Amino acid sequence: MSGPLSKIASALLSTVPTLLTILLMIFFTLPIRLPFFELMPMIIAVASVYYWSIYRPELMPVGAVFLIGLVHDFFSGGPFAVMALALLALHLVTLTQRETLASKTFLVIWLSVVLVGLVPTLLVWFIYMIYFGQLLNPTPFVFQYLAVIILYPLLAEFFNVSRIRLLKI
Amino acid sequence: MRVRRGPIWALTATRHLIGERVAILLLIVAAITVIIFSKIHEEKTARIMMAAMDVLAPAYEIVSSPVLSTNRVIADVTAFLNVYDENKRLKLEVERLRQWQGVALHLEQTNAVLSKQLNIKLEAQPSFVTARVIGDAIGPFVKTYVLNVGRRDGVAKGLPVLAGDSVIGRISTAGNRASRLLLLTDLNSRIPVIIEKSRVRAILGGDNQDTAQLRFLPVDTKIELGDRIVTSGHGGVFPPGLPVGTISAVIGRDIRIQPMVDLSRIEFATVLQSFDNAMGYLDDPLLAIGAAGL
Repeated sequence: MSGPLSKIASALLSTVPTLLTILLMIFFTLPIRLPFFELMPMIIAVASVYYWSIYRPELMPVGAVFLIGLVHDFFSGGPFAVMALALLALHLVTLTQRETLASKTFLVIWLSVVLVGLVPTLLVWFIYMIYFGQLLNPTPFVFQYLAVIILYPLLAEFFNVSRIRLLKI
Repeated sequence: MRVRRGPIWALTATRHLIGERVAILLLIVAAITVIIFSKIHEEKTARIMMAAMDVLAPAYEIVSSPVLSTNRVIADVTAFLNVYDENKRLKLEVERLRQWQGVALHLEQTNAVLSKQLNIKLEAQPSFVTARVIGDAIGPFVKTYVLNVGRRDGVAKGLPVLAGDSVIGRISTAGNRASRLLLLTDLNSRIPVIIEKSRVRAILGGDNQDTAQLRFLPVDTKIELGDRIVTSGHGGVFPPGLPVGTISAVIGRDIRIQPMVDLSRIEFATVLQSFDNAMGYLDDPLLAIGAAGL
C-alpha cells in the first residue's frame, strides 16, 4: 500500500500513542474523588513513555515525550517543565537499554520498572527541592514511585491492546 | 507477553539513534531553561498558564460536570455504608449543639443590648462568589484546584477561599474566567493564625501533606490536642476569626493541624471578595444555609 492517502493515514496513526496518553492524563485531572486518582497523570506519563520507548520508539519521538511532560506540568499547576525534564531523562535511559529490554519477557520489564521508575521520581523530588529551596518530605514521592510499579502492568496491557488492535503493529 | 520484532523497527532504531539522542539533550537543555525562567519570572509564568487555562476552562467545565454526579453516587454509597455510625455520631452532636444553642441565644441577646448601648455601626456585608471546582491538582507535589470563576466574576489574586465557614486556602492566580485555588496544605501556603483559646500567634504553613504545620510558635506555648486554630487577620489577606483547623498531632516540635473540612472532597468553594465584616458573613442565616449546603 502506498500513495499520499496511506501516508497521511500512517502519519495520523503515529500520533495515536501521544494523543492517547495526553487524553488519559487529562481525564485523570477531573475532580473525581477517588483514592489515588490524583496520582494517575504522573503514573500514566511515566508508564506510557517507558512502554512506547521500549516497544515502538518511533511512535514516541522525543518531541512527544517533551509535549506529554509539558501537558502534565500545565495541568498540575506546579513548576513548569519539571515533569518534561524527568520524562526526557527517562526516555534517554530507556533508549540506551532498549535493545536489551525489547527482547525480554514482560516479567523482566516489570521488574525493570523498579529501577527505571526511580529516575523520574528522584529527579522530580530533587528539582522541587532546589526550586522551592527547602527539604521536602519524601513520603508522597515514595508513594507515587510504588504506584508506578504497581500499576505498570495494567497500563502496559492497555497500551498493548491499543498497539495491536488499533495500530496493528 | 513477548513482543514481535519486525525489520522496520530495527532499521528505524539504528538510523535515528544518534539524531534522537542529540534531540533529547537539546530538549533537556530547553526544559532546564524553562524551569529557570519560570523560577525567576514566577508571576509572569503563572499568568501565562492561567491565560491558557482560561481558553480551556469552558470545555473543562462541560467535561467535569458529569463528574459531580459521579462524586455524589460515590458519596451516597459511602454514606449508606456508614449510616449506623453516622446516626450515633449525629445524636451526640445534636445533644452537644442543643446546649450551645442555649448559650448562643443568651449571647445574642446580650450582644444586641450591649451593641445598642455602645451605638455600634456594623460595616457593609461582605461580598462573595461561589465557585465550582473544575480541575484537580495532580500529583502529591502541589495542592491546588482550578475554580470556574475569574476576574470577570470579581475574583483576584490573594482573595481568601472558604468551604462552609472555614478557610481552605486563597486564590494564587486569577484568569479571566478561571482561577487557581492554593490549598492551605500546599507548600506555598502561609496563613497567619492564632490558637483560639490561648490567643498565641503563629503561622500555618503547608508541606504538601494532608495536614498543615503550625510554625513560629513561642517555645513555651501550651497546646492541647483538639485546640482550634483561627485566622488572626494579620497581614490583611485573611479576615480575623475564621476557623482553619484543629491541632491533630504533636510530634516533638512538629505540630500538625487538621483542616476543618476534608480538602480532598471539596466540590464548591466560596471566594470572599471583601471582608470588612467577615463574621457578618457567618451571621447571615441565608449565607450560613448556603454554606452548609455545599
